[in-house]
Amino acid sequence: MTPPPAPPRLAPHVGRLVGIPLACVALAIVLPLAGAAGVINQPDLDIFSYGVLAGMLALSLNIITGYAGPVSLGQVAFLGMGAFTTGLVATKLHLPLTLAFLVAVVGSTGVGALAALVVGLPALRLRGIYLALSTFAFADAVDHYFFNVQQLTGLGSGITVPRPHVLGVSLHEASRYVVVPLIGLALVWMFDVRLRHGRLGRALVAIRENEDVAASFGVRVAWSKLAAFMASGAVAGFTGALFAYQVTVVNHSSFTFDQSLFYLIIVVVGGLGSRGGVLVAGMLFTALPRWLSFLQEWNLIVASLLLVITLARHPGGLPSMWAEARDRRALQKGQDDLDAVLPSMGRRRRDDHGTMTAEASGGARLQVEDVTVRFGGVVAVDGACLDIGPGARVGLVGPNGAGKSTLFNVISGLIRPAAGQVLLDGVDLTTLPPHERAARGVSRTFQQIGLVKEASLVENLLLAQHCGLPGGPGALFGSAPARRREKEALAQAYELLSDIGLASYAEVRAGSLSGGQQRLVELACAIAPNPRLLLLDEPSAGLSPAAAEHLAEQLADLSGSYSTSILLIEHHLPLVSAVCEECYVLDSGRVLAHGPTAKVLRQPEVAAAYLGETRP
Amino acid sequence: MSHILQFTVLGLANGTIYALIALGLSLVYKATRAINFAQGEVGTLAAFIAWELIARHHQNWVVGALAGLAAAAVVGYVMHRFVATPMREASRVSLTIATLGVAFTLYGFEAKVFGDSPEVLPPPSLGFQGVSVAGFLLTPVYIYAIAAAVIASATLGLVLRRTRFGLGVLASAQDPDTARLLGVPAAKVSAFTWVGAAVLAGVAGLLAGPTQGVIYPFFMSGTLLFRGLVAALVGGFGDLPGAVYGGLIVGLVEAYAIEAFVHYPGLPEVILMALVLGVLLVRPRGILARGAA
Repeated sequence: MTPPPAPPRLAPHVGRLVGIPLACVALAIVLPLAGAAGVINQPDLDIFSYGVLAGMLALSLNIITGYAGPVSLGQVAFLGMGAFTTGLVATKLHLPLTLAFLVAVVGSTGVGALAALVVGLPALRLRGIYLALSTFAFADAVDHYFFNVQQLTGLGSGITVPRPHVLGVSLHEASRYVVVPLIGLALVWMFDVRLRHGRLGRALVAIRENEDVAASFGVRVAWSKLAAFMASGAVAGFTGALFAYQVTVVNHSSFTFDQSLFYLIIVVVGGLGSRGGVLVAGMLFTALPRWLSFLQEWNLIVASLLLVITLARHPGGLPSMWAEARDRRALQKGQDDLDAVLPSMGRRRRDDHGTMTAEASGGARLQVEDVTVRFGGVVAVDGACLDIGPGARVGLVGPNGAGKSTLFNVISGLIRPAAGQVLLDGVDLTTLPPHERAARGVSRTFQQIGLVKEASLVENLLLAQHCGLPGGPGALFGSAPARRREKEALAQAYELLSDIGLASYAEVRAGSLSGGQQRLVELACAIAPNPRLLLLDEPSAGLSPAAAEHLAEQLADLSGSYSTSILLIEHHLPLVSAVCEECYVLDSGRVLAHGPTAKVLRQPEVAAAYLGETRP
Repeated sequence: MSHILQFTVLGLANGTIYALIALGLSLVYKATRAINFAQGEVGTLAAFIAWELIARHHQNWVVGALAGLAAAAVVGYVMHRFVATPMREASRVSLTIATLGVAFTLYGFEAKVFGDSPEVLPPPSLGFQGVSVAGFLLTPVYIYAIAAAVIASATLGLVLRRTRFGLGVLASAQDPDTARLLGVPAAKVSAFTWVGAAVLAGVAGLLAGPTQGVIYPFFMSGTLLFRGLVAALVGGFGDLPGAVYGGLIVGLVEAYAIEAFVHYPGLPEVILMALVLGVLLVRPRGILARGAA
């Protein structure tokens, strides 16, 4: 067996963090000199600045639509709000120019974030198309109403914004002002990398794919979406401030909402969620037609045809095409033997120092009291009662449609029961949302594999530790304690991955693994947060018989070394017998039998429920 | 009092055009669960083709109109064949974005061929000046619009409910896979949906051109498309009769808002935004739907 690869010394995104910003700084030094020397003329520098600003706006849209999923049809409205805020600061406040510039940038960023917060509020209830419609309505209203208020926008004549002096240096000329958008882009890029590869970004990608899975990992779905809107609006507002100083006359005709729609096209063509692609597409489709005037009338047609062709040929867009090709290569390279490394998972936990141990450790007692769930007229769970003692390993068996998975959904919070209670160590969880239950140590797997398929294995394992990681601005801007915790989580992720023999695939997307491998990753994710209650929904489904046997050993081992309580749904009865000392039988939503596993499984009515014999 | 009546008639008259746009949007939504953002621009294209023939080549209005509708139908077929069919398995959000691409392709094409400047599409004539209703002159365009809305919704209703093929369309809308297994021709259903929606867009474009005063590239994809979307939403997306009354409601709300806030241009837009959010959040299946979702 080859030694498992060590976790990378630096977080995997550090490389992405510095490349473009360094290029920006280099250009910020070269371009003004070239401009002053007359090598590049001023109009070309202006065009370049517009391109950079467009790239920044495209990046802002990518945060909402690319990472989190909701389609924003009003991104340019945020830009306009930022630009007009800058206009007001520059003309109404009578501050010294340097100070005015700083106030304008900060103010515009704030206004953008606030506006996006308002637009994002419906996201708490709306999804997909409907959410897109609400952003469309917002963009239309802003375009026609707020941007038409004389006092705010100066209507047709616009607002004149004098270019700033910063520290006594006038940025009036294009060759000097070009430095500002470049520095802006460097900042936005670094912000974006931190966002996407930090706690929030992982949560957003999970939300985009499956909100239930995200919530079960402990992600606050609604709040995370709002945060994405705010981050996006802040970047757009910030861009708006720099845009205002770039155009020097801010006019509402720059922010018509067809521009918003065009930016959406740009972002999809660049590749939703692909930072580099989005930046390049934003720059190209804005700057090129200004340079090459014959392109002007073809710009729309080319961009939109590209969009249609990309989507029609490959509905996931270009990045998914690249990602699939990359994964194929990685999978061909590594050929680890799964079964050989399987048994190591449980054993390691014994000498584990538990660096990531959540505040709570040790198994919890779970009580399910008289829980009833109805779907329309169908009673899926009918007054079910379970009592799982601390550290106990309990099986939950029963025929298909008995209500087992529904009961799991009740315990993990995805379904609210019509009647009854769920208690964890005597605390009533019944009304708590899934993410708060995850924070209290409830961890689960799904029958259909609850992984984020579009995210890499290591990202999935980091996501699983979501509750143990600090969030908020500290994490976003990379405070020292947040960075340390991330590093520990990363180490833990690699450790778990090498335990299941998949460390060499750490950067491969979960969706490109086989079903059995995905099961193992899901299991690793479920134990990553050191849960107090582990809900396993048919873990052996999709595993080979040999792997299923290993799994039994591991689960027994896990519970012993780890003292977490386990509730196991399983059709493979040998696994139940091997792991669980106690067992519940569920049939038609009711608890049919309960007791020591061996005894329960021998009862005639249990066999009847399973094999469908008619009862006398 | 007569003032209010006058605005009521104006609102209802404009509402019929919104209803035509909404009907097309709802038809596509019913079949694909996606929003067809090209609905407005297909109408613009039809209006421009008609304008080219009528104003530039002095053809009969009917000839121009038919050519416009034919062009719209072709675009509809292309969307079925080269966008909707390859994207059968794609998410509805992806399909929605793809229709946005079609809209901008048409926009770019129109700007290139017909230019950016506003043009006047002459209204269809009826041999008389129009009828005065409650002090509001219903010009022939509006009479055509009302007739078109009635005929379009009646035809759609008859085809969908009374013919075998129409029932197949409805079955596909409910459950495309089962419908296909039962022998409903999926390709024909999709073609019918997209071509039908495109023709409806064309009709709306031919009528909206004269009522709006001027036509220009993208003229139907902004405010008018938004009105149509709100109408479809108010009526409950995918509900065809709902699209018609939704259009009328939006026309009325707009007319009253314009009258009430005459000094605040753009405020009707804010009121419509409030309407959208209200419907989406409180009654997402439409305001007259039985039972809130």
